[in-house]
Amino acid sequence: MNSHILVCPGDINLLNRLGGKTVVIRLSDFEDVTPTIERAKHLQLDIKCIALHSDIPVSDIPFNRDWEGEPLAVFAPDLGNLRDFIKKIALLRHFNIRFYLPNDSGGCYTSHRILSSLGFSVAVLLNDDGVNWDALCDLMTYSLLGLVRHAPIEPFQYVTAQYDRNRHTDYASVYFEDPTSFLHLDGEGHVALSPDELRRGSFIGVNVDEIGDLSGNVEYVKRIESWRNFFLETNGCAYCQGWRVCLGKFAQGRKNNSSCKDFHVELMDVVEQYQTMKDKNKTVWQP
Amino acid sequence: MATVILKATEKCNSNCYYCDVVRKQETGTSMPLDILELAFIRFDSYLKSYPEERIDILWHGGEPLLLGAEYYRSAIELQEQHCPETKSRIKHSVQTNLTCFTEDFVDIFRKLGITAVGTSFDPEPNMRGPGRKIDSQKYNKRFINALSILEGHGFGWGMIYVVTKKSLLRPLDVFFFLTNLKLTGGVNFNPVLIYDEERKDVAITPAEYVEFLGAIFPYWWKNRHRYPDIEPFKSLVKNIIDGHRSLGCVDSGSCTYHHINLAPDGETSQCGRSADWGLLPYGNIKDRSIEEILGDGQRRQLADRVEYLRDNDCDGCRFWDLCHGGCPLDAYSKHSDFMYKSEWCGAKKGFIEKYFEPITGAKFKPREKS
Repeated sequence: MNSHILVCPGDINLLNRLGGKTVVIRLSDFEDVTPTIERAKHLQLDIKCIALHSDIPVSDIPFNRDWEGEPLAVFAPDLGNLRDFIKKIALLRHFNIRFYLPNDSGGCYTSHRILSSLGFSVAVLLNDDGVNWDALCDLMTYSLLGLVRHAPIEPFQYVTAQYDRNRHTDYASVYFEDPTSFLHLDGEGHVALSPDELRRGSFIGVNVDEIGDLSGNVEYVKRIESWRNFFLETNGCAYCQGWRVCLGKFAQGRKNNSSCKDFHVELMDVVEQYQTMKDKNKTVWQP
Repeated sequence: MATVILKATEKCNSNCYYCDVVRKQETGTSMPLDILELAFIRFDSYLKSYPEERIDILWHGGEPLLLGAEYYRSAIELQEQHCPETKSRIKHSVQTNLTCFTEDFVDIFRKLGITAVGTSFDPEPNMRGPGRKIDSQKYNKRFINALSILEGHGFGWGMIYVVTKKSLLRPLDVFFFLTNLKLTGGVNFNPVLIYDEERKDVAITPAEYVEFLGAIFPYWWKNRHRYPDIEPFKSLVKNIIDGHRSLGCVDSGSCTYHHINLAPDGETSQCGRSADWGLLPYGNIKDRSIEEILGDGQRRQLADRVEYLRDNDCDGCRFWDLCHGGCPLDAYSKHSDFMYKSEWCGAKKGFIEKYFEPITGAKFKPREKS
């Protein structure tokens, strides 16, 4: 089955079948985190991270000292009350954690900036219709070019690390949605190529052990080559300057002159500027 | 080095609107294996006589892959059989529309030493494709599928994009489309060449070609590290800024004694267009050796043309070193005579003066006239 990371629920029967595999375990109940980690370790699973999907703000999540050092991806609707969050900072400093947040109500990604400036890794949850591209561009510039110390903001840091002008740069991995790296399992072990396909019941296999070598799986090959279909359209994303780092992720919501283009072009420019700056050793005169 | 344009077949499965090859889809012939065998015998004999020489074979058409994988397996066998000592000095390349490319060709290309493929593409609907209606959807699907196979097996590829009247509507869109499809570049923007009245609707003038390139060049220059391999920009940078002279057959003025077009029936000529137009016939390989074909007296007029233009029509032109009067066949198409410069010289000169030099700040310095 190649070296895919399996994104799966914390179902005990399922975990029992995944011995030795690398996993991202999806949980939504805070009470399940500690026992699931213990169980996974007992089964000698390689935990990439625990993806904790919370429907309450970060400030209200009952973080547990037992989670210290464990890789956590916390998906939450917003940061919540800053004063409450600040009380948790001392504990969270010991955590191996990244927060995944959508845009906040002000539309300016302020929560992401706050978390980053406090030293917490954060990722922006992007969806087709709710992206404030101008604000996202500001956040990206802050993330990559800001001189004040701050933690990485994704997907920008990922793009910076992966960017190569000779290849596409697909930041779907930040969200566990790159089918060349991640497979998604339901509680019964059905395998899908994305969370969306998992929800829709569009599986490439009914059992992860039967998947075998994916290079021979027709659906898999079709899917990883599907980016080429954009080049069969007479208009659209294939004509866009930002294609090489976007790959048509926002095709559904894209209208003429959509600012998703401007954002991705700016992202490429800033990433290239960032890489150039990194190559130059800045020296300051000495007395 | 001799370049043999090996027209393995005149047939083509595409009916590209602007194709400048005389259309022989129905009646075109393919090269029989006995002619191909004779060609390899001739190549071997030439290479044995000239141990420092090489032969570059460009499989061309029509659509060369229409012949099928078995034909090329036979070609490999014939090369093995007749060129055992000289095969290391025979280099193969292929110009194909890729729509017939399948897994079957992967090993064949590898055995022929082909690591990269030349092709062409046009995203505009109904410009490339089979049938009277030019079914570009069918064509494009096959093309894109072939790219997947090609890239999956680690082959490189580059493409020609033919600039037509339609391209003039959105040059940068075309540029982004092609460079998204092929991230490392390998895109060559060539002007469409139309010789009949029937398809004048897509024809462009040299001035329009200049404006097409000029619409892309400022962006390309600013971001050239991102799109390194775009022609003609890359070559102009190489020649004008880096000072390395490196020109294609159209501009080099040196195709005279190097090129051979080999037709399916064994007839030879200077190039594909001269063969199509019945010009510069150098005889059949059944009767003549490669040495005789390369030394044919008719070639002299091409060499004379370069000297004549340098001292007359092009005298004093500071871009002579970059153009040499352009392609003699282009000149012939306009004047029915080789002894003129190509009208596309004006495009090169116009682009350099209007866009290249002002934007790059570089000034082309010609070498001393010799």
